[in-house]
Amino acid sequence: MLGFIGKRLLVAIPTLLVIITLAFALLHAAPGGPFDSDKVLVPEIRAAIEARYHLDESVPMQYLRYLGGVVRGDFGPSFQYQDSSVNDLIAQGLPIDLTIGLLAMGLALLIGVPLGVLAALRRNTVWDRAASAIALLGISVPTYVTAPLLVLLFAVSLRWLPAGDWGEGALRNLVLPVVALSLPYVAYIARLLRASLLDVLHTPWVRTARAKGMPWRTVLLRHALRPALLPLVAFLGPATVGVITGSIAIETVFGLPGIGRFFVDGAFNRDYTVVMGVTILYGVLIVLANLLADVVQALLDPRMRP
Amino acid sequence: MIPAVRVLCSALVLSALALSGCSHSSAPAALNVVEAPGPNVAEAHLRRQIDQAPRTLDPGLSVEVPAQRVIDDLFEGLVRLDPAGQLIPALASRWEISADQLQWTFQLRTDARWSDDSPITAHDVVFAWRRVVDPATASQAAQMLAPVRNALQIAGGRLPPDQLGVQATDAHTVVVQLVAPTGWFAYQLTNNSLYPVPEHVVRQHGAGWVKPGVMVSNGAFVLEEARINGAIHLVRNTRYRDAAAVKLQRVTYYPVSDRAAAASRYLAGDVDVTDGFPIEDIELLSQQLGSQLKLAPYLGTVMFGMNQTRPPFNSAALRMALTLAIDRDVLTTKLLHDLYLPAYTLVPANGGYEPPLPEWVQWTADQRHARARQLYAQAGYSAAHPLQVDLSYPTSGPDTRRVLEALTAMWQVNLGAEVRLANEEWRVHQQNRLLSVHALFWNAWIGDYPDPQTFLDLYRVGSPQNHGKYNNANYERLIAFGSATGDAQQRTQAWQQAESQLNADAAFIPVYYYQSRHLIRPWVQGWQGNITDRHLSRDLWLSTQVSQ
Repeated sequence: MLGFIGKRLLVAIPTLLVIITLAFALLHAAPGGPFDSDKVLVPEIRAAIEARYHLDESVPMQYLRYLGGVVRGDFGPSFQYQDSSVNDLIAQGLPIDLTIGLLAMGLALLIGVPLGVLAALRRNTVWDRAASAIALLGISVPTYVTAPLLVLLFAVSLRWLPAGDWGEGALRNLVLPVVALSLPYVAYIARLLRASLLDVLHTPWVRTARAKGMPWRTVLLRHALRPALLPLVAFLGPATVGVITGSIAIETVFGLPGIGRFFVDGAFNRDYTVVMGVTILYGVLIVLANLLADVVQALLDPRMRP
Repeated sequence: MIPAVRVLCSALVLSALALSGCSHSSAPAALNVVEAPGPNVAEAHLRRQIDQAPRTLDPGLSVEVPAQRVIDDLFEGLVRLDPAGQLIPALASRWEISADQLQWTFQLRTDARWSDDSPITAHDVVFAWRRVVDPATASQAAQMLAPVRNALQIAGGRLPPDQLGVQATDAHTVVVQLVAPTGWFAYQLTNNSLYPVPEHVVRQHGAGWVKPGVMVSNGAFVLEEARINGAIHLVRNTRYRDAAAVKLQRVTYYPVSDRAAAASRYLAGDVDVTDGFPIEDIELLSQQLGSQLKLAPYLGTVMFGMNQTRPPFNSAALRMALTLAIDRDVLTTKLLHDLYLPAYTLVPANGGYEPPLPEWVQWTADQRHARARQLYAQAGYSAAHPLQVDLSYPTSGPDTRRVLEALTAMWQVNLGAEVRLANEEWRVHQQNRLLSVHALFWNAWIGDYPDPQTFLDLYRVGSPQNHGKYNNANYERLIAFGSATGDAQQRTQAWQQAESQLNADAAFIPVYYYQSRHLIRPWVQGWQGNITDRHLSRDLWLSTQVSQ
């Protein structure tokens, strides 16, 4: 297993290099630069600023300089947030995204798994239809619609919870963003689990287990649920990264200082280093999450062990 | 699962209620407006929403409004703007201007101290200004010091920073040499980049000197805690030179870039002041909040630029035809709900300056349209041979798009011109404008200080902002004269004549002036609308005696 993990990590290096190179090339191909603004800079001031950030060098030279920094773990200064380095921005924003994202994923599992199991076991009953309807609603209503609605209800109308702000991670500040972020995942998880559990329930080994008189509870938990979880685990790897990184709408609506907004604002403002830094971070997270998902799958299903 | 459904369903119903309330002008039941002051009022804690996270809290690097809001509370310059937007002495108790207007001498208050209790000296001012123009600082604000002798040469790396035209002749006297008489220089001093910074702290901590726990400042408040893109907490500075006049104990800034989210935060009672609200919510908000909506003229103009060096806009007749054919009143009242003001000139009225209105402002719409059609024909266009041109504009919200669609429809109906909308991503648009790629383009300008010069400079030959390449010798002469004269009245006359020249040449198409718009709780006192839209927290206070 360790050899497998080591090999996968080695393969990740060229993958990341490709990501870095592509992102770098695309960013620098976009018209406009980080110091373009409505108030045009006097040429000599612009030149001085560009020299300070090495933007006066050729693009290949900038690329090599950037790679050198990345190898040393230095993602460079932010052009946009002049008081901070990209490392500072990530160090500040990532814990926020991790908190919101992991709580949302936890909540989604907590609700989605029972919902999916219920729908599969009570197939074609009102339970199943209700669960499917909820799932469909969760999937089709995007977070940038649900989040403002939650704010309208719980913050503006009922005044139970604040309409936004991180509030140093206080529970009352976390509730709305976590709920809003988890809703689509509740839906995905419920639907995915329902489908895979239904498949498993019709397999010969489940029928055999039931035929030999094994208690239903054991059949379900030991023989049905474990293989039924496999597609869910495969989904959870990238989905967890998605929930951590994809909360840009949530960050905007709730005014949370996570890295998603750095990424989007960085792209608009041609803040090359910030966009690159967050891209690399996302790349690393996806590689790690996929690896983790593979390891968990292997633990669940001996056939998938390397 | 059931609570989730109920939440969602209730929220959907509520939002439908809110929306129906909006469209039918009846008070929606969903909103519950804060009527009573929260605990923050008793604690003298003001909570302000700002449009974006400040990109820096370093005065020497600050070039944007959100940073300016916070820095204005943390630091104080030689002069400042009072609640009405008038210049008053601040760190400098008085100043003198030499007869040739090239030398300004400032006397600093002797009792002013940094928040670490060290005295503020003239050397801190000199250090701050040299630092801004030093290429090693890489400050985009460097050009704010352009009127000071040698500033641009230093910024360009051709002279060392100590050659800047600013000296500390003693601990409390700053002498500034200017390149040319600059009547508006006192206003320029209200720019963050000309505020003093504590030399001893900046030298010790480098770029990290603005971090919470390290920053030393001289304003009414000091930095307690700050997160990028998150809340910024300030507390009262007990060592501020005028601390007795400061009534607030705490100020928190919440960056919320989405205007709808900002309005929600306000309606939820989370903030006391917002820096805006969505145009489309104006009816709902004005019903709900009444006088809590505050509008005031703001020093900014939206216009269309035209490239005058090549067809079709090398024709003055065509430029004037397009200028006359749009109905600004209809646009600002019907479409923009009076949140903007119709513009007929480049410079908004400000600080005693009245822009010269073109003659056609008095005409009826029919008269204007008739004259526009005449000029359109004179430029060689007709129904058979209509003007066909792209109007390039940067991506922004749906409001801009709606305005532009209305304007192109006016040109279509009143002239028969076929103006197509060409949307560009913001940086792409900026670059194309800089390279004079566009024939007809969206342009907006916010004045750096309340003097017409900050606008009139846009159309000078060689100005990097003169994207349409306007070139008129008489205009150049008038601006040169206005800049050089020490006589305020003569200068105003020169500015007015220069504006009249722009109007006569239809150098651009004025569309509307900005207004600042805020939501402000009734218990926030001391707020006055002003043309610069700067509102220092030191001039505000919270009162439980609410008067609407």
